[in-house]
Amino acid sequence: MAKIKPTERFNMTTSPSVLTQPDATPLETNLARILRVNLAVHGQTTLRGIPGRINLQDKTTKTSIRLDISGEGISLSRTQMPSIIHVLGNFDPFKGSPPEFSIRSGWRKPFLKAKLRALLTPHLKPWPVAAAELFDRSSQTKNSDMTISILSKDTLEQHVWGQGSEKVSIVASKKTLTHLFNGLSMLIDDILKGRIQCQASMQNIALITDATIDHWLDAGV
Amino acid sequence: MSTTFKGESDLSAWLDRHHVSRIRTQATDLDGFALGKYCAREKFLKALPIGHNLADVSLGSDSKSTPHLGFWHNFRQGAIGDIALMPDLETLVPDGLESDLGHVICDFTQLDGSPISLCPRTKLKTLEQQLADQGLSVKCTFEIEFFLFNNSYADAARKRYQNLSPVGASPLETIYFLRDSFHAAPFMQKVLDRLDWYGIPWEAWNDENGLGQIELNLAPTTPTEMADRVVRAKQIIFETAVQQGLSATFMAHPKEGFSNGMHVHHSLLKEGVPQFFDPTARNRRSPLLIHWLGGLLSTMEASVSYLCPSPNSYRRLREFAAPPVTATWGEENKSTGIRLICDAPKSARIEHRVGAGDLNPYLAMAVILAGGLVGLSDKKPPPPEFTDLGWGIPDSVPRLPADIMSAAKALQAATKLRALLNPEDVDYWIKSRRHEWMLFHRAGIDPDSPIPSQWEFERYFATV
Repeated sequence: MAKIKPTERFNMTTSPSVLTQPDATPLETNLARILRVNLAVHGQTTLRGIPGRINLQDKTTKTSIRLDISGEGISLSRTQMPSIIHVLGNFDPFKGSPPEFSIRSGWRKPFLKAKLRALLTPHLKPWPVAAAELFDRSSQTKNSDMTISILSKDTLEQHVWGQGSEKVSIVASKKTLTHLFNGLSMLIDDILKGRIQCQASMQNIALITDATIDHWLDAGV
Repeated sequence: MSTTFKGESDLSAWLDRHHVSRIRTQATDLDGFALGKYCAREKFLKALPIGHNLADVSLGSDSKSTPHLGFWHNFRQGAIGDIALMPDLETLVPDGLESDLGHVICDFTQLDGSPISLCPRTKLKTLEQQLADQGLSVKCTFEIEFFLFNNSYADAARKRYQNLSPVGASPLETIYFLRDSFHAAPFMQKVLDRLDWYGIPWEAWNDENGLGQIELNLAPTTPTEMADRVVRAKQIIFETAVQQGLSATFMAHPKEGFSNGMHVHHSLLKEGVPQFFDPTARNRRSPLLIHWLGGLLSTMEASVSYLCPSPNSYRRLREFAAPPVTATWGEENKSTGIRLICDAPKSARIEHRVGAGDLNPYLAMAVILAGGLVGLSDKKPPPPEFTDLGWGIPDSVPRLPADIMSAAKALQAATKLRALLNPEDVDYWIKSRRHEWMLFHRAGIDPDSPIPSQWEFERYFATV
């Protein structure tokens, strides 16, 4: 059994820690961020009653992730051990939207099943709030000379961040913006896949993308 | 007879004498790929001294030539613009096979000729200069390993790089086996002929452990010249393979259980006199050697990022698989990260054994010199010499980073190394490794498998 080395410890006073191995894959880091946010939002009681081990499998890549749950928090690893709970789904961290999954193996405790679903489902802030938080925190944007105008083309809601001379315009659906600024996708991916229209210099696209990747990886924004 | 332009001053006369009407420029990008153009003589001369233009993303692209769109370096233009390839005329040589072709090594520069610190060759020259400022110079050489197959590159791709036919006589995984060497000799003779023509002295070659694996040893010289020789030797090996309908790969880990390394031997000199051996010192190890070793060991974890640049590099770092897995050193110990040879003044040297076959020789040598410079500054001794076998040891002995992101994190935390290598350039390198890591995982690859994936073969087999 591989030993879990605590490389990323987030000891928020009110929430348990979520640990990943040093060689964590994007699937693990992405899942760890979702868990971390949910534990911070819902608190330690979220874990009460959930069995100590959960096996998750991504349907496409067949990658398996094990969650070891204790009173102190959750550890993620790729080494498989027996578990009474199996979660099967699309956990692809690059798809730009939340994981879609089903909880299998006949676990007949609806209340706990709902808790588990809440634990694995990303807590999403309204996109203007998430965007402002991201740009305020990111070293790529916070001291930049950018004015970033963001428009939700389906709700026509608009948000402007910054007062710099470098203009950036981002237009997308509310859903895409929500996923982007909550750390589920990366700007350049959304642009290349046609989900976002972005008018800016190559430098500013790169800097904002960098900030969204840091957020996606939960890496020091 | 030397045919290089080095030491001459009349370029036109040299081009006339060698009947050169076309010049191929060659620079090395971050991933160690050889980039350049074939230029008409008139165009080449007209563009001097700065050299011809090329798109700035040539130095800001990944190993599939996809521009780095998700992070930024200040050498790049606001949209996509041009930079230049400045020829180092000291490196100009005739091709030897194509009678009217010449080759020159270049640095990436801005259009006004000002240096770009991110350029790997420029960076190595900067580190060499920092040593020169302390009155020191370096003599070094690289061990080049590669696998040679009877299949052409097209055939290898068609077979999806599976069940290729290695060049050799024996189905056994032998080493130094002369019957295997004899099979490879016609290929290697062509390679050596071209090395001779380019003025690249070689010392030996032999059958290596993997089926079809060959090791080539070049004669030592100064770091930048050595790195130039390595990139040229690799290009010559590739071209000779193409001409003979074979394929050669420098992939770090093309096969379960066998890898290509690129060990780096080096020593320090002062006014041309080797400095590592001291007959009056304990174990004949000079204080300079001890401090240099101290720096290499204290920065080894962080240096892995440059020495093992791809996700494929890390499949090589396995216990009992020959490459080292710990930041350790020992005299005549080939299982540690550093093997020290210190039995005579002229041959006393350090063999840095971490490097993978797909490393960029300029950046690898730069990070080794930077590590040594940290040691000269800190003047701290290395950890105790490791005399046991460096594999299968308790977890209490820390292991080198085992994946590309762990190595990047170690580099991010190495303040002194970052300062010597230029923090902006190091950050850009780290982002480029993160990009490679994301592409690797986006392909849905099992990182724990000892077997390389199709994605790795397609990305690295014919390119690194």
